[in-house]
Amino acid sequence: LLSPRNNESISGAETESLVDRAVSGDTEAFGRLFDLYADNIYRHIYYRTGNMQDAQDLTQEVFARAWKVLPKYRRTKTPFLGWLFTISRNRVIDYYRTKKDHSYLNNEILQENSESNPEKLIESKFTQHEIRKAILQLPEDQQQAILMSFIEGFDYPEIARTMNKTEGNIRVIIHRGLKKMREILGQAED
Amino acid sequence: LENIENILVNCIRDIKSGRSTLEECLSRYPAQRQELEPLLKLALSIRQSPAVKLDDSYKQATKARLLQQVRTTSQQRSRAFSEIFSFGLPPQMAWARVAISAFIIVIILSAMTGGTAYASQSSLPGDVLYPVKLETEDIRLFFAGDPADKVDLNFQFAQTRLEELKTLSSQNPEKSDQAVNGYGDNIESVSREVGRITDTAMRSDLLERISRELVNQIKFSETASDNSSEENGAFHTTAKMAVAQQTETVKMLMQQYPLRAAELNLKMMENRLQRASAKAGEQQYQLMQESLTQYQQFNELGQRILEKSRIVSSQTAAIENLNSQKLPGYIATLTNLVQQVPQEYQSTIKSIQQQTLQLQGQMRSGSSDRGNYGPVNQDSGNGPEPAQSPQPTAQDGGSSGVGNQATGTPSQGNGEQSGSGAQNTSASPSQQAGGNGSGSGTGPTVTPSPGVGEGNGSSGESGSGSGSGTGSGSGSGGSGSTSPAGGSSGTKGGPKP
Repeated sequence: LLSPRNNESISGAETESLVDRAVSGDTEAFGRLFDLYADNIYRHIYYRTGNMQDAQDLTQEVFARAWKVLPKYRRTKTPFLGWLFTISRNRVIDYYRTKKDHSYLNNEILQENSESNPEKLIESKFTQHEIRKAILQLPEDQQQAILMSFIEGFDYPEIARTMNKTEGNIRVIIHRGLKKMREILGQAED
Repeated sequence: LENIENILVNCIRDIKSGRSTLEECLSRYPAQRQELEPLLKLALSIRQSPAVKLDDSYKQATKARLLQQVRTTSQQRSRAFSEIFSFGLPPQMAWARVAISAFIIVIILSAMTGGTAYASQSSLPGDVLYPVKLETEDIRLFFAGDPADKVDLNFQFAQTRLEELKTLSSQNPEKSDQAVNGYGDNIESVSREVGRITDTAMRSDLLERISRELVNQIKFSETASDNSSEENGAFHTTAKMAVAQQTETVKMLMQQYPLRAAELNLKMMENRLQRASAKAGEQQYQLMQESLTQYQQFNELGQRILEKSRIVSSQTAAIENLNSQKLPGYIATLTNLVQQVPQEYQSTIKSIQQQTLQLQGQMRSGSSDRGNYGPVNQDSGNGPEPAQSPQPTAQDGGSSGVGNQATGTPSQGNGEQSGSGAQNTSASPSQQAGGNGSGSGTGPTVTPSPGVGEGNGSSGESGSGSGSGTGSGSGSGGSGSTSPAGGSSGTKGGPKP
C-alpha cells in the first residue's frame, strides 16, 4: 500500500489496519484515513477542476462515497490512495458532465510565489499557475496519469493498477500528455 | 530501438533520483534530443504546490461533517450488478455470464407473472421473500430508461422502506436495520442519478422535485419518530439521512442555479428552526439542539451559495433580497428560543444566531434584481436561458405573513403556497405514477417569522408540473405570539401512510 505523499508518513500495514477497522464500521478509523488522505484528494481534485470550493465539496463527497463502498475495497488490488483516486476520478467526470463552462480557469487557480518552492529542480519558463491551467485542459486520462505521477509521486505500476491499464499504456499516456501540455503552453506564449 | 515514451520516463526517473543530469540524459539520446528536451524540462517543472492543501480549520470542519454523515450512512449492502451477474466466472467467459443472466431474467419475469415476486411485495425484512422483493426492485432500476425514471423509482422504493419501518416498529423493531440501510441507499442513489443528467434545465427541475420529496420524507420520519416510544430509533435515523441528502441536493443545485438553491436552503433553515421551536416548546432540548445543528449546516450552506453567486452569477442581488426578507425572522425566532430554553442551551443558540447575523451581514448590494432564475453562465455573466421575470403565481394563504407573494418560474405549472400551517399535517413521502403532489405545512412558529409551507400538486395528467416559489412577509404580530394555524398546505396526490 502507498503512503500518502508529503503527508505524515504511515506504513502500509497501518493503513491496512485503519481500513479494516473502517470496514467493520469504525468511524474513528475512517476519520483517521480522512486526516491522512484528504489533502491528496483535495489537491488531486483541485488540479482537475481549478475551483477551490468545488474541490472542497467533491473531497467530502469522495470520502462519503468511499465509506459507502469501503467493503468492496478489499476486492480491488489498488493501493488505498489509488482507490480513492478512482472514486475522485468518477466524481470529477460527473462534475464535468454537468458543468459546461470553464471560465474559472482564468481566475480561481491559486497564484503562487515560485521562489518559495524548495523543489525547484530545473529552471522553467512556465509558472506553476500556467502549468496547472495546462493540466486542466488535458484529456481526462492524461490529467489523471500526470497528476498521479508528477504531483502525487505514484510509480508507473501503481498508476497502471489504479487506472486499470498496462504500464506501457501509462508511459504512452504521459508522453502524449506532456506533448499536449507543451502545445497548450506554446500557444499561450504566442 | 527504444521508443520515445520509454526514453522519456526513464530520463525523468534518472534525473529525479539524481542518477543523471538533464544534459547527461539528453546526450545519451542525441537523435531524440529535439523532442526530448522540452518535454523533460516541462515534466521536471511540474511539481506539487505547497499552497494547494486544505485549510486546517476547514479540514476539521469537513471531517466533523463527514463523520456525522457516515454515522448515519450504511456501508453498501448490495453488490453491483456487474458482480451479481458475474456468477464467479472470469471476465473471459463473458458469453457464459450473459447466457446465465438472460436465463435468470426469464425465470424472474416468469416468476413475477407466476406470483412469487408479486407475493414478495408485502414482505418485510427478515421474511423469506424479502430478498426477492429487493432483487425485483434492483431489476426494475436496472431496466429503468433514463436517470429521471431511476430517481422516481428510488423515491418510490425509499417510501416502501419507510412503510416497512412503520410496520416493523409495531411488529419487529429489531429487524429495522435492513430497511434503514435500504432507505439510505435509495435516497443516495438519487444524487448519483442526477449527476448523470447533462441537461441543465432537466437537472434543475429534478433537483427541485427531489428536494420537495425529501422535505416530505423528513416530515414523515420525524412525525413517526416523535410518535415512537423508542429514542433515537429507526425513523430518527431516516430523518437525519433525508436532511443530509437535502444538503447534497442544495449543493448540486447551487452549482448552476444559486438562486433556486438559496430558496430551498432558506426553506430548510426555516423548517429546522420550526422543529427546534416545537421541540423547545415540548422541552425536548436534545432534539431541539439536533435541529439547530442542522439549521447551522444550512446556514453555512447559505453563505456558500452567496459566495458562489458572487463568483459565477448575476443572481447575487436576488439572493441577498431573499435573505433580507427571511433572515430577520429567523434571528427573531432564535432570540425567542434563547429566552425559552434553560441556561445551558442558551450559548449554543446565541452562537448559531451569530452565524445567521453574519450571513445577513454578508449582504452588500441592493435588491433590485429579483428575476434571473436561469442557470449561471460564467462566461457571460448571465444564464444561457433568457432572464425570466418573476411572476406572481401564488398568493400567500398564511396568516403570519403580510403581503406575501410567491414567485416562480413562469414556465412551471404551479407555485408553492406559503404560510404557516398546522404542524401535524400528515404529509407522506409519496411517489405516484401519473401525478405527484405533496404538501407540508409548518408551524407553530414562536415568532412572527415568515412562514413557509410547501404545496405542489400537479394539475396535468402527466403530473410533471412543478413549481417553485417563495412566499415571504414580515410578521405583524408581537414577539412571542404563536401562530399555529392558517397556512394552506397542499396534500394533493400525497397519500398514505
